[in-house]
Amino acid sequence: MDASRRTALKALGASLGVAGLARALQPLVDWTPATSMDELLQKHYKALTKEELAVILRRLEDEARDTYGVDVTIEDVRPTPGVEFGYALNLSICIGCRKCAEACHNENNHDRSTNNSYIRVLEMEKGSLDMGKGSVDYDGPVPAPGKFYMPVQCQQCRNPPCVSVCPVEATWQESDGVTVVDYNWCIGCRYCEAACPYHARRFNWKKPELGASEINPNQSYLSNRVRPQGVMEKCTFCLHRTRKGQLPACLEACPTGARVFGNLLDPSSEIRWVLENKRVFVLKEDLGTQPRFYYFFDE
Amino acid sequence: MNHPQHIVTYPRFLWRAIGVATDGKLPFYAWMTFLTAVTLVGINAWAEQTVRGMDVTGMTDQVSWGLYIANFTFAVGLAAGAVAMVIPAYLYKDKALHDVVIVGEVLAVAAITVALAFVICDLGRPDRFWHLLPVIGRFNWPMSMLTWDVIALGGYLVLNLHITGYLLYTRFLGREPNKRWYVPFVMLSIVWAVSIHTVTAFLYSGLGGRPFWNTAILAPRFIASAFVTGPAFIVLALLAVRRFTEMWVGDDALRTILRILRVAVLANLFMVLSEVFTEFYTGGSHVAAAEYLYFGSHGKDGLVPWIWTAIGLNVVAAAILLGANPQQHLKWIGLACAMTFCGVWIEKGMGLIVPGFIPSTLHEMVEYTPTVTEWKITAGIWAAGGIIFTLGVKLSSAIFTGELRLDREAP
Amino acid sequence: MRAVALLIALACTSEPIPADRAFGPAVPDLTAGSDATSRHAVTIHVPEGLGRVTFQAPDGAVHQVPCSTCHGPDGLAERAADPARPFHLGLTPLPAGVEPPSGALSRRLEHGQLQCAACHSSGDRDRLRLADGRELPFEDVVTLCAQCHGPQYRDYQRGSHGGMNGYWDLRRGPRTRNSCVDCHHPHAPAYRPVMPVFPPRDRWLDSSTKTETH
Repeated sequence: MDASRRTALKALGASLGVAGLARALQPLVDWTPATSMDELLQKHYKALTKEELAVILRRLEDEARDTYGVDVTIEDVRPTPGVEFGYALNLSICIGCRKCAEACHNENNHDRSTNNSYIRVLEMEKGSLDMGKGSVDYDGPVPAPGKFYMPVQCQQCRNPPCVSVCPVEATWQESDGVTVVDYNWCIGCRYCEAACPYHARRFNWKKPELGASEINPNQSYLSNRVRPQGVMEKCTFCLHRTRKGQLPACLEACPTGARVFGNLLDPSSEIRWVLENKRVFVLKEDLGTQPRFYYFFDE
Repeated sequence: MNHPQHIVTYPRFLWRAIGVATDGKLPFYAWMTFLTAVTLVGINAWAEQTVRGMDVTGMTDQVSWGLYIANFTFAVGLAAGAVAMVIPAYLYKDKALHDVVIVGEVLAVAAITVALAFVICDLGRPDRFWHLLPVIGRFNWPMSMLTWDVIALGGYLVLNLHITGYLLYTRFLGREPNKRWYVPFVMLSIVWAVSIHTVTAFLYSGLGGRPFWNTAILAPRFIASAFVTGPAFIVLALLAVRRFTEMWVGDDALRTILRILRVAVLANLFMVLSEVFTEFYTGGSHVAAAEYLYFGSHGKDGLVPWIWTAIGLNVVAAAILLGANPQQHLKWIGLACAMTFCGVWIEKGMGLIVPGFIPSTLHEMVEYTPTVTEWKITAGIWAAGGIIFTLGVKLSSAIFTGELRLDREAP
Repeated sequence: MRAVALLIALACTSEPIPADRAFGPAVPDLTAGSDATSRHAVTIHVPEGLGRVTFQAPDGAVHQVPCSTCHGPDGLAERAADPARPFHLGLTPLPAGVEPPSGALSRRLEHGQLQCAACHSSGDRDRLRLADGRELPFEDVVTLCAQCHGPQYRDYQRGSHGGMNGYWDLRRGPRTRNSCVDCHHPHAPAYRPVMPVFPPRDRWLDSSTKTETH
């Protein structure tokens, strides 16, 4: 084989390879992603000025209108000084109806097809706190004999492993104790999901599917706005409500009043009364995560 | 060395290197075409995954890492294990290894590239990869072990690129390499190799919520298994080099590597045994994941055939490696290397990453099976690594045999 | 009235509440009393049809009538329910195995050993009666329940029993509390089993077998 023929063959091979590559990447080329250049180059939430953030919020509202055909308001609600949220759950009166999980689903604009929710309710066997004996896909009627029910959601740890492991600081703990995610900064490595001992974090395996009428239009940047594909999300104690003084959606949905929410820094709050007068415990205390979510029994 | 000269010779080195890399006989073209085709299939699957979301994988919120991170872990081990050749060659001045050590360096480069590719394929938002870079992103260092891994892997890649590049380039010029320009880097890369795999182990062992990983033996176990896979792969590669290239590979080199391999394969089995004993003798909820892995639990046993295959392969390979004589049983040794390579791949991948998630932190028993997309991407990445390794070895062999030299004209 | 109710509640509580905690500003002001200027009100929800009897007439129409429709101020004596009045049927113990017809007020009276007059005023059937003989409007039913259910009432006051809506921060907005009878039927107060809503629908549950129930 002479040199020129060999070079020609090489060129042919190279062009075949390039053509193959172009073909392989075709799905990316055909895709008209919602990702704008502004979003691609967007700074971290904490690095944004008030003006920059305002522009982003308007852009996100526009995107929500374009994508889901609904007018939404996306706010940036900041923590109130002197407020640290705490949550307690009375296991004696929880009946396992899962209304909290459903309320969370609706309030937080979760993907409809997967029944996603930040709350998972475990049906537990009386006489044991071993979650290995529990189940999540129980059926009714509830409460079933010999069972008690334990809803689990983000425990808003004082020492959150998910925050430590995040390589890009896309998740952090705010001054009121709520651990939040900047959905526009998260790279979707799911290290936090591996680190969380409470199965509190969820990944957007696909773009959330929601009908226009199903969307809760009262949204905030760090909580219940519809999440993009490929990022992490988690319970924020409904900060878009609670930072305005309102109760979280899961508490309002609870028919038995098993849930107690309030300001841990206020000695006269209901949550403080529970901590001081009930015998409370936290999940997996041995891990040192120091949850702000407490469980207790009446009797 | 004066710089104006390099401005002329370095581009020529690159140009000639491309020439050599794309030149070969029919089997070479067939092999490269095959690898390219598999890589393209993988790229296509990745493009599909990026568009449709990670929903196309078998992963769930319960088992949130799967085949990609399993292969990432294994590839980091392979890269670290490549150093097994470098240690005797430079620390103990083993002459026999000196000439083939370049194969180890090339393997390190290829394996690190593979590892990084697996991380990128596992990201939900590959478009935001830049957030993960120091300075321009927002680097959660020193808290996040993943940032340590970025530094460790990136640094290791640069180190090995420098060492291989420097050695090949000086040989191309027909000069003796200046020790000042590579020996310190080789020493550094030895320490660095241990560090990449230690950091990768810490990534998992630091998670208190995952009892299966939360064990101090994880990092030593990773190093031990790395010293199995690295040398095993290199033995196979050297056998292939002997067969397909002009480069000289002596039995002495193989014997030294075999010695490393014999110790490592036993050390690895010993650590697995220690782990298994502690888990099962203690019992309790801590053992739930190991029980699922080795025997199945709650009627789910998806990983049981995998892990017993891995143990079988490793035990048989250990027996062969201990009994075989490098002069007579080269084929058997090759077979044992292939077996233990596969054994560790299973043990460290599906056998280590996946059971860390089963049962979940709320003790749900959710199993994981990779989808076709995941297998395509995985095969694609390994094929791309194969391309890098093949070309690297081909280039090295051309330079080391003197076929490719500045003072010799291209054919 | 409120203070009296609290005292009664205290008397029934096995675990007494320290005085400073029981009446301090800590307690959300359930009746929007003293410091309502700085805090929004906490209102107790009054269930629809409280103090009335709902029944379906033979023509299919649903009626709500106050008790005084039949029980006049003359103190009409308690008597066994007339089977012709389905809304009373459940109020007296039924023979075992006999199910009450639908539309009845309750399946049967399942509230300890209580009789009607324990809670209902014999004189004015539109009012409730406390143990000491004083009467209450139906809207204050919580006070009536608190006579016996001290611990529950204490927890209710402290926000750890019974559903609520509105604001956790009363400086910023009001709150509505459920009344005892929102969830507990006064004639059969045990919480009835319900069918759970919203089962998990993860991908792995669709395709594979369900998780083990032990």
